[in-house]
Amino acid sequence: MFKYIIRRLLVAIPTLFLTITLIFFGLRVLPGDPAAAMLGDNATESAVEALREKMGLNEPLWKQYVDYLGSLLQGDLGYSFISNASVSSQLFSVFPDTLKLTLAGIFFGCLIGMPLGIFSALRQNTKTDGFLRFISMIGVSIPPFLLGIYMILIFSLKLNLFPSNGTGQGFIDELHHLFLPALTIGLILSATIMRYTRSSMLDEINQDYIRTARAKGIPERIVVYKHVLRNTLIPVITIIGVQMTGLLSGAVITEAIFSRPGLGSLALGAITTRDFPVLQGALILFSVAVVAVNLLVDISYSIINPKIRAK
Amino acid sequence: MTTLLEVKNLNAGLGEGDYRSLLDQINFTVKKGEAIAVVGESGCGKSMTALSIMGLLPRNIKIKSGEIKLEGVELTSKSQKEMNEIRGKEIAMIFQEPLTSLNPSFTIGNQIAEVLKYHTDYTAEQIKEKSIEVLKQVNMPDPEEKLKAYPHELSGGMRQRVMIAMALACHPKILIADEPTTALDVTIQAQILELITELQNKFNMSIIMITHDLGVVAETCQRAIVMYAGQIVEESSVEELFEKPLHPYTRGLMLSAPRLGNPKEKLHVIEGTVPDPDDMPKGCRFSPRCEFATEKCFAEEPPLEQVDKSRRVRCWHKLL
Repeated sequence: MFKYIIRRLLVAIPTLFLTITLIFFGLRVLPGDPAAAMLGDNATESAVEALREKMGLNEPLWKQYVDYLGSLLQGDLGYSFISNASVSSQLFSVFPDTLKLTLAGIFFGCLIGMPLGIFSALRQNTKTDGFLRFISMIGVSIPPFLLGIYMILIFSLKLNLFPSNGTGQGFIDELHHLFLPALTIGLILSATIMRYTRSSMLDEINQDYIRTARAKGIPERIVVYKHVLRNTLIPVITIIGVQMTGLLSGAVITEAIFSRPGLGSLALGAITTRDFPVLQGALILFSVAVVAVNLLVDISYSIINPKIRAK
Repeated sequence: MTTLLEVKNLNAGLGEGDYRSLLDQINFTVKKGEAIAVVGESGCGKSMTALSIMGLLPRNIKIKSGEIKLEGVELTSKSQKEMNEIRGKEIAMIFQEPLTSLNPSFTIGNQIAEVLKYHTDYTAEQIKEKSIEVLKQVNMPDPEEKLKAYPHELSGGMRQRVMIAMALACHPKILIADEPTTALDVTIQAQILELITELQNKFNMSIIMITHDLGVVAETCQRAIVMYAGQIVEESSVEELFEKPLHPYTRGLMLSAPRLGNPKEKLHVIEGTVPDPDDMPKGCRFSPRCEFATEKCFAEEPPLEQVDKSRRVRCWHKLL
């Protein structure tokens, strides 16, 4: 297992290198001049030129690239064009918030989605099953901003149970602030998770080895929760992984509605101001997150299915 | 010999409103220590009969009427929970596909231990000892090591041995073997059949061998039931059956089995296929495919008649 993880980490290095290169050059071909953007519409040409010189934008592209890689290897992601603050400190001040929101959202998604999926599959083609599938269809279709607004209307304004914005201070207060946005993400996610759990469970339940398990006379709950569920998890984990990478980089809308800081809003701000170093840093952090989540997904596959481990 | 299992007038089928019969008036008994074969083409109701006994019929198929008695105790009225006390303990079953019949995610040891865990009061230590013992009984090399193996690490024959070990762990009174050798190589087939017979004698266990392979019947069973389109068409001792089949369908089955020593001989073919439960022929269900069929056969359904003490046949024109 340890060897497997090391091997996977080594494979991730060229992937990351390639992504960083693509990000660097991709951003350079974007239209718009960061120096001009910083100085505003009324800046004189010479002032813009002087700033370009100062920011190193007049150097040949390859030199900028090599310099960037060099400092990246030393853990230096550069300084924001706009605020002059170090990019890494900016990223790491908001990353924990995004990570908390993502994990809490996935927690709610699994907590609601998986039991409903199992419940629905065990009652395949009954009214309950039909009803749950209908509800999940709504869940898949509803836009997060709409659900977020409803949540605020109901739980914050009407019932006054949870705060509608900010992150809070101290563990309990933070959880209190985290609840609504995480539930918003979780509810939407749970619809997808429910549908995957249901269909994967139905595939599993008709397998020969499930019939064997029943023929052994073991209690039905053991058949379902041990034999069926374990193999059901593989497609479900895949979809959770996909959703997780999406959430880490793009919970922008939910963050905006609940006025929470986060990677998504940081990256969005950096795009509008052409703040290359911050945007680069955010994108690199996203790619690291994607690679890490995929690694986690692969490791969980191999824990669930010994056949994958062997390969 | 005492009667162990008695199936009486068993009817089962699909749906409730527009009921379609899959098993029609199934009657047979299994005596203690006896091996009987249930023979027939795919779709004739062999596996359905077995699953009815196990209480494992698919959800859309229901037993409509009839009795299944194990040592006089009625099984059809038992709940799934009560049946769990019987399945794996009193009646065990092994299946056709050893490759897919074991859960790929759990070790062999775990899957064998499960049977013992829910049917005995053994401690973990005793369960382990017993698991090794049953693996030894099915001639598994390195049984202790094999407990830690996953199904994909074993060959098809080995996996079928594991299935048999699992089935035998609680010394069931009856073993239902549903085409246990169909998916295996010929050499492995012989080994597995030999093993089943050996264990049958050792534990004085009854066997219901479901198969379409008459070679398997000849090798392992004392009595045979031939099924066609959800009905029993013939029942006889294996010896008599091979010597002189009475039903045209049984005769057809025997003629369609290839024999050694006559390479030029053309194989007999029973024209047509088993009828669909939605579209059962009137009269004798075999009549559309029968070379001896007369007008009476197309009009009236023949009863299952007792020919002599141990033979029954369902035909207007028995091949006497």
